[in-house]
Amino acid sequence: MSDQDSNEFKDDIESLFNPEDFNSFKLDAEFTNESTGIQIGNGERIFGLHSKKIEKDKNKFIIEIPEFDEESLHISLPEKSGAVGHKILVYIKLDTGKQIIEAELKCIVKEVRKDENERETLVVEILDHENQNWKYLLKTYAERQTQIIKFLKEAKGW
Amino acid sequence: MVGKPQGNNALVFEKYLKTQTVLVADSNHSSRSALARNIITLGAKPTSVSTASTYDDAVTIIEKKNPSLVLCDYDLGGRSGLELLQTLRKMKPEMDKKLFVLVTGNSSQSAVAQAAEEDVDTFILRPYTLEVLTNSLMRAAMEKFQPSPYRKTILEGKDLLFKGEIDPAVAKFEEAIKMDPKPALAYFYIGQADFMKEALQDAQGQYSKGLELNKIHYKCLTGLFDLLMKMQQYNEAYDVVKRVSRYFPANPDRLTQVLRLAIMTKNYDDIERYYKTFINMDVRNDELIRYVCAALVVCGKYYLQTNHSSRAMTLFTNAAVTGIGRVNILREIILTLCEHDMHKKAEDFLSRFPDDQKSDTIYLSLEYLVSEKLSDPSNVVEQGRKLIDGGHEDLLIYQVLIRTSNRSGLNESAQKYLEQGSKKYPEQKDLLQRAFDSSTPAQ
Repeated sequence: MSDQDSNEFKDDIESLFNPEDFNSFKLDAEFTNESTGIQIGNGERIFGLHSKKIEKDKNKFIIEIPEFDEESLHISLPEKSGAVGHKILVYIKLDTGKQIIEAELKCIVKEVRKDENERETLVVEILDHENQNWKYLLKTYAERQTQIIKFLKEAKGW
Repeated sequence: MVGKPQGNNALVFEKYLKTQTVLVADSNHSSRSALARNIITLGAKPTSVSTASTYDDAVTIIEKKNPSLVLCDYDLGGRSGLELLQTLRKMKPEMDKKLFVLVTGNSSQSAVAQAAEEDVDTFILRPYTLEVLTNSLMRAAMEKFQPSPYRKTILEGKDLLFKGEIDPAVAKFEEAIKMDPKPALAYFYIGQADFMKEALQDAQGQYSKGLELNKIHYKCLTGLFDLLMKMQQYNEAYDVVKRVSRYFPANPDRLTQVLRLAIMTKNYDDIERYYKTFINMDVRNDELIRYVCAALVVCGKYYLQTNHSSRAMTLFTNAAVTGIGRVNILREIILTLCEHDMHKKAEDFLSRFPDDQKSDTIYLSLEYLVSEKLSDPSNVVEQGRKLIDGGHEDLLIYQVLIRTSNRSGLNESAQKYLEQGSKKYPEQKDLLQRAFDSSTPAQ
């Protein structure tokens, strides 16, 4: 090991193990169906157009986003959260560990796919896909993906 | 909405996918079905795509269908997706004809580093776009099945090396060096060849050349580490393993090595940092826990010796908490604290013993040792006799009983237990004699 490398690591001893190395991006979402009044987020479902009822279940009322692009989202939700043509609002918060990016997206449901365990996936079209925060969020993910591939190539040597 | 990618490469990829047997392994149903659907959209035959929600289901599918393309989450219902890759390699070794891809929401550097260590074919971050999924899979397939001249030459050399044809293998690797601007992998394999010939200095040179070109080249780093360990250059090996851990933080085996070397090279100050890494790790095997506890105790002892007792106590507490239920760790801590006349602190650690072990000799002997400085000597003597008569003839109990009897003026009693203990533990006769001699009042 060269003196320079030794010095690098002596100087860098405090950052030798960075606890952030173990932290992943954290993506949270909240969902509002403007057509039915249903809201889901933070382990709760609020429903009923006039008399709002609240159901709480941290395991049931979760939202996941397995797939996205500039103009669409796939949102996994408890079943009966939406139907084709419904107007929905999706609030997305990305915590990268270094910054928080938030975007609120107006969408319309294009397709409903039934899943197991009383869940469904809504395929939605984003109506305001020029939303700058949304673009920045997508860019952040794209950058991390690129970083990952670069690291893999360097580490493996091809 | 953005649809299926088009273009020549996409068509070639579609053709490739049509002939593949695919496994999608993910404990989350919506992710699993979305990925399976996408793979079919991209060209795979629906009848050739299987899904698994658990590690065990995935293994069953691997056994039955021998998938050539596996898409797997990092976390497979409590088991690691990378564990599945290891299993796949063992069950179906012809990995040069298969692709293993991680598709995961875990973007942590530790997950990525582990993926690199395990040599996955590619890593796709979720949520993904169809474009990213397609491009990533296409690129991985092209790199593997239409390798660059550099990669092809390396693989040919590797084949020769594993057959024992060292010189022809080295010729291939030297050829490969000219084919890439950063041929760290070629240098690694030449280093391996030198290692096989026991030309260790030469091997070190080759790994170092590789690292000059690419300082995070995993194989060069670990090759150099293994070499330095073989050469017993522990300080240098410690520097290298720290470097490996810097870029590849989450490997439990690596942390075990780091801890051992930190102790061997007396880098005690680093132990606390490694402990922070340990508590952030998802996977902690039994061996790692043992090493961490042992390292914390050794480090604590060092701090006691250098009069940093509060730091020592923190480490001992961490060891006791980490090694919950491991009485040998508690025993070591209690013995150390008693050696340093910290019997009250030792008593706190006694209380951490599991209730169901408080009638065992190991606990009773430690309790007795602690009582030596905390209880009235006559009670200590009485208690010692009861323990011995009750069948708890532990060496430690004999030592304390002999010392306390002597100090209390019960010289004959002390002599009796010295003889009795020496008979029971003939190989420890000297130790018991010292206990007697050190406590005999001056004439």
